[in-house]
Amino acid sequence: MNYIKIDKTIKKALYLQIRDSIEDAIREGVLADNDRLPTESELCEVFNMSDIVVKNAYKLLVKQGLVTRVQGSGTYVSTRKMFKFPLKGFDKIGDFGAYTYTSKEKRVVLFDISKDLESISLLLNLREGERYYVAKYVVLVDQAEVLYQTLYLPEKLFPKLAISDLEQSNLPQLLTVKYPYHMKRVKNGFSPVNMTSSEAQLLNTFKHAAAHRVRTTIFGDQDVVIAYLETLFLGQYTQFEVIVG
Amino acid sequence: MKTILNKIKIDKRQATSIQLQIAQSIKNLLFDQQINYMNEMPSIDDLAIYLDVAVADVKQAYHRLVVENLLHQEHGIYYANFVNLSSDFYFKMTKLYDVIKNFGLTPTIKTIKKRVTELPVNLALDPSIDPTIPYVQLKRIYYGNDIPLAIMDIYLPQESFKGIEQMNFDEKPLYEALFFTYGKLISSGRRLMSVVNLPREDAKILNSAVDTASYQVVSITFDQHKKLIDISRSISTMNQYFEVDFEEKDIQKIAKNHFFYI
Repeated sequence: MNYIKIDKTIKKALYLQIRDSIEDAIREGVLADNDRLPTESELCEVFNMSDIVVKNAYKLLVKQGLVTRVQGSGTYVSTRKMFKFPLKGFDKIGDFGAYTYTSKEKRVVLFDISKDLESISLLLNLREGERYYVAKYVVLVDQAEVLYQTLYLPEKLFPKLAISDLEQSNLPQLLTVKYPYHMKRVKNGFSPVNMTSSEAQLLNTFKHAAAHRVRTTIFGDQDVVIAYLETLFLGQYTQFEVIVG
Repeated sequence: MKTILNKIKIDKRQATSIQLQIAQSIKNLLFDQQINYMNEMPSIDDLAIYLDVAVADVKQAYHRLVVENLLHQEHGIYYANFVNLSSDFYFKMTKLYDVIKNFGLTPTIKTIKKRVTELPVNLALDPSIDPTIPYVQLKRIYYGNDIPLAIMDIYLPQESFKGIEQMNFDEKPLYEALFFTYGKLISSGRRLMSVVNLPREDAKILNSAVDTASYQVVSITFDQHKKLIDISRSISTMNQYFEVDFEEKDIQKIAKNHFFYI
C-alpha cells in the first residue's frame, strides 16, 4: 500500500487524499485491474485514522467505477472497459462498432469431439450416436478477458475440422467461407447467472461474479441448426441496449 | 400445488444422485414453463413423502435451486423464480406494475425514500440529461402478492414536476400519476441492461442471497414532446430469460463490427 500518501498537516480531507492516491496509482499503472486494495483495518492501522474515513474513500471510488467491493473477499481495482451491445434497431443505435479497441484475441483452451451431453445433441438435432465438436475459448479485447465461449458444431456438417481452423478464422468465416453454409437466422436467449469458480478464473474475475449467459443457436438454410454457442459476458462490463418507442 | 407434485419425477435405479435428479426434474419443469413464475412449490416434507425419499435429499435439491436463483424462499415457503419473458417486454414501454399484474400476481408499491438530490454521475447517460439540476428521487419497492420483487430508484427533474415532492402517490403506479397530474405521456426511451451481483442492502429488502446475479435495468424515458420524464434504475432478482432473433442483415453487421463472432 505504499502508493497511498497521507499528509495530516494539510487541510485536504483525509478520505480525499486516499481517493486521490489510489486514483493516481491506477492512472500511472501502479495498480492494475483486479488488484486487491488494502482492507479498512489495514489502512486504519498504518495511517492511524478512523474506519469512517476509509469507508468514505472506498465508497467514492466505487461510485466512480474505479473499484469493486466483493462481499467477504475485499476491494478490487476494476478498470475494464464497458461494452455496449444493441439488441434491436442496429441502424438506430449509431455508436455500434464505434467503441474502438486496438487488439482482439481468441485463446482456445479446449478442442474435443464428443457425444456425452444429451442436451447438446437435442439442440443440434443429432441422431443417437452422432457426435459434435466442442471448442472452449476466451476472447480478449485490449488484453482483457471479455467473453468465455463454448461452441458446439455437428461433426457431420464439419468434416475434417481442426483446431487451427478455429484459431485462424472467426465464426462467420468458418461457417460461410471455410464451409458452405449461410447464417440465416440467429436466436439468442439471455439469462443472468453467477459464474462458477472455473469460469471466473478463465475470465480473470472473482468467484460468483455476475454474468449474462447468452445461448445462441445459428440456423442455416431450411432452418437447419449449424452451430450452438454459449457465451458468458462479464455482467458489470456489458450492457445490452434497447431503443424503445 | 398438487399438480406440481405429480410432475416431479425421479428414477431410483439411476446412478445419478436423488437430490440431483429432483433438482433436474424441477429445472426442466421451470424451463418448459410447466411451473410458472411465483407458483408455490410443494413443501419439503410433502415432496419427500410423495417421492418416498429422505427429507435431506429434497432439502438439498431445493437449496441447490435457491443457489441457482431458480427458487425463492419466503417465510419457509419455496416459490418458482424463473420467467420466460417475451422479448416484447424489453422492446416496448412495459411498466413494472403491469408486468407483475401479467404474471397473475397482485402488484403493490411502497415508496421508502423521497428527497430532492443530485443525479448520480453514472446515470447521466445521455447528453440531453443535465446532471447539475435538482432531481426528485423516489426509491420504491414493487411487490407481487406481498413478496418484494424489485427495487426502483427514480429520478425526476424537479423543474418539470413542480410540487411533486409534496404529492402523495406513494402506492400508485408512477406513470399514471404523472400523466393525470402533469399531462406527460411516455412516448420513447432507452434501456440498458446489465447483470450485477446483488448488493447487501438490496438483498435484505428483496429477501435474497447477497451476490445473486440480478438484472439491473437503467431506463430513460421521454414524453410526447421528447422532453425527459425520468431516469430510473431497477434491480430485480427475478430470474428472467428472454430471446432475441437476429436476421441475416443484422448478422452481417455484427460479424463485421464485433468481437462477439471472433
